[in-house]
Amino acid sequence: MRGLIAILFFVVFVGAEAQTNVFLIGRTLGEKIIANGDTLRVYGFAPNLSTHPPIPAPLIEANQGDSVHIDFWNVSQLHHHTIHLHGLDVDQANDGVPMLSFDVDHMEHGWYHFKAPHAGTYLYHCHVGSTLHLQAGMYGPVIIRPSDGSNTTWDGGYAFDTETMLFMSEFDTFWHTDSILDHEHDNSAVHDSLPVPKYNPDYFLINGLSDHQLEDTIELNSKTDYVNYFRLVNIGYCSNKVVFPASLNAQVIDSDGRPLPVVDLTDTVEVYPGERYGVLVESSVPVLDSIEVHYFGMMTGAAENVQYVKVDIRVPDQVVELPNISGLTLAPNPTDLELKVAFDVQNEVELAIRVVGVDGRLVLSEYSRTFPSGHQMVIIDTSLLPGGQYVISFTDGNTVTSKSFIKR
Amino acid sequence: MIGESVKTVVLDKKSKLELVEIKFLNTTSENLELKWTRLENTFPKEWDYSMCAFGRCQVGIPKGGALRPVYPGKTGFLAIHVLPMGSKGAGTVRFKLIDPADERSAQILEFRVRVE
Amino acid sequence: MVCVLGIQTIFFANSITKTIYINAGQSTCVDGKQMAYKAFNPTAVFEERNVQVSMEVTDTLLLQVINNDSVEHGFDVKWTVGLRDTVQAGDTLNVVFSSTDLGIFIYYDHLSYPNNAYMGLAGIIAVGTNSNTYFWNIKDHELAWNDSIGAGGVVDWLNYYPDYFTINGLSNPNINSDTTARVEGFVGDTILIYMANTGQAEHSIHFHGYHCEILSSSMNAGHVGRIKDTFPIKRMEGYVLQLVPHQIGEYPVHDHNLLSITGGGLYPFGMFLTILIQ
Repeated sequence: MRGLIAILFFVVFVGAEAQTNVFLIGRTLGEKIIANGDTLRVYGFAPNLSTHPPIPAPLIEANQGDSVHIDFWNVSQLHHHTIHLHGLDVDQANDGVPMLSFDVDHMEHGWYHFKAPHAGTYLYHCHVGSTLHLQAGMYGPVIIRPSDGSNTTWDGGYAFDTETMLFMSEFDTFWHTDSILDHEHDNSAVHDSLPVPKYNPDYFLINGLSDHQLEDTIELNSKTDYVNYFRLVNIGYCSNKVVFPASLNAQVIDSDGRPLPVVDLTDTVEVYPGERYGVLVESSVPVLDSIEVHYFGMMTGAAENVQYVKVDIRVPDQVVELPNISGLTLAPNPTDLELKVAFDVQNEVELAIRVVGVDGRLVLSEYSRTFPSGHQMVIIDTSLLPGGQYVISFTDGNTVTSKSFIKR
Repeated sequence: MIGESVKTVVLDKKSKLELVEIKFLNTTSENLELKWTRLENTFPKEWDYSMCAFGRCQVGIPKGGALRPVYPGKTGFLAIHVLPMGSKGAGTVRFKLIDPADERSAQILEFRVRVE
Repeated sequence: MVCVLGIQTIFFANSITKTIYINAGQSTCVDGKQMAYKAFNPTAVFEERNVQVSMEVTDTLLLQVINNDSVEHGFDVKWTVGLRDTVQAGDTLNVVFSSTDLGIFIYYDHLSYPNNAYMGLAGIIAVGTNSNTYFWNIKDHELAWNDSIGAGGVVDWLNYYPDYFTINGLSNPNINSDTTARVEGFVGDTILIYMANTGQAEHSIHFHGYHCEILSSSMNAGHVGRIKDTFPIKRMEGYVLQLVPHQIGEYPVHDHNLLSITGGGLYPFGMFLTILIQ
């Protein structure tokens, strides 16, 4: 009898869908360092109380078919917020439109539930005073993976070796002043009626970074004949043209969470506000180039800005480890509070260290630290990182050594 | 002050302290434009915490800041939120609440939290 | 013994006769302000909404265009050849149009382009409609520019910054009162939306709650069959979208260039409406 119960339990457990729980905190006094070194006030969704909300917000990730439960705690006096799950076709009660469902007041919790639909790339953002709140920083990515969680685009889709997200948006720094962000809220109104100033963006972002902030990172670091999957997302108010180097043989394979009926072989992908695209790139020869991301005003079509994303694809046996470094180890991996990175240095060397998330967002950057010869150790504080996969890289300015780790 | 200027809270390591406030009433006929400074913070680094001053909710507990104007007859406050993240321990955070127009009337507000 | 015969479906092409008037007037914006406006209307009385023409594939449209304005106007149908003509003030122009495919066509005043079309003179011909068909004629306006062009002035399109955004001449919340725009239906219905951008700005129309399939695209035939929730729509571009709702509820549809959700500088009185599915 006991054996029969054990078998029944196993069957039920295997058949039960997985559950993904997400905890996000709404903030209106966040701080973001922009390319000129200034600190900009931002709104955002933070993973905890102690860190400023990242721009874009933390990645929500689940497998197709999972039940996803979001606990949204709003800790921002005077401001209501919601979470709209963009493109996920959730029901009205969970759609995050305040006048059609609910909004979340200061110190309240809002709970959102949905079953992860088609594998693909989606978004979430605040839908209260959305024109202002979204530009202020309340947006983030959602990735729904195939039902087995594998590195494929969807069930039965394309397998890929690397994955990179390019999340495009803009800042108009005037929109981040207290006079705009401390707008009034009318508790008795169905929705806020808010004056919106003229939009003149002065920073053009990819994954929350712009200009030299992008120049200091390599967004695609891969190998020849590797399949690289780009997730392109536009959450700004400009249209984008993403131009891949011809040598990458770009193929557009999906949009808005659905495979395209016909793969589009094109180097140039137009991405308009709210749209997402999936693009496969692959090269049989080494490539050292840049992806161009152009920004156009939608009122006149005028070109506003261009940003560059570096691409470095090398032949596998020519992926040179840093000549002065050997025995690179990470422990513990997976990690919780901290990651000990140990390595041996043959000759004194100056190294820059960075840690990026799987969505390409830079979470740590430390420049030009000199390491003497001998056994060295760097301790990375991972206590405040959201759970997920990360890559830590060391570079001497010429070559790069990387290893991945998982934060529980 | 409304109540004590020292708040002591004991909670279980698996629970959350979403809000504890120390309130005060503006008994004057003028708006109070108050500032606060952090005197001490001994909360364990394993805890996740932040604070709100009347009108402004901060990330973490910064060194200092200002409250929104407290109108005559209205109540202002300082508040903290603590998520122990499963770690036992104890800590105190102390603030000095200052009226720049009358610095002699400064008040010390203290939050003591113990997680078991 | 039962003999099943093949059934041949025979389409009877119809002739549809319509008269439209070119009228000039004042449009009332969502905040009560007035701006100079022109439109193709069903009668000689001005209204903001341009006539919406529905026809079946291979039908023939016999269109009588009466210029009720005091100046010369033009008439053309986008993506066709040979229909372009002009009509003097007080005169009548006769146009014959047909299409062999499901699709959307923009009829408009081509003279002084884009000025006359921008002033409001652009509407939709929908080919291949069904009983659940809706029309979204998207426009944007900068009030001062309407008045300037209406008075014969010159504007610099490089400095265009619209402050009003409409569907069928209406902004939120009034759009939801337009039964030709506000989608209402039931789970499983096959709903067709004929959407055209006859404004000067570009837009990116996002659906909450549902994805739609592109049945026809005026600028990108290769996009037919794509299933999306967000549709970029450039100047003088048109789509035929098919929505088959899978769930009940009321869901917004709006421009995801969120500047266009404003009206007169105020959120959310712009290009925003809802879909109601029961």
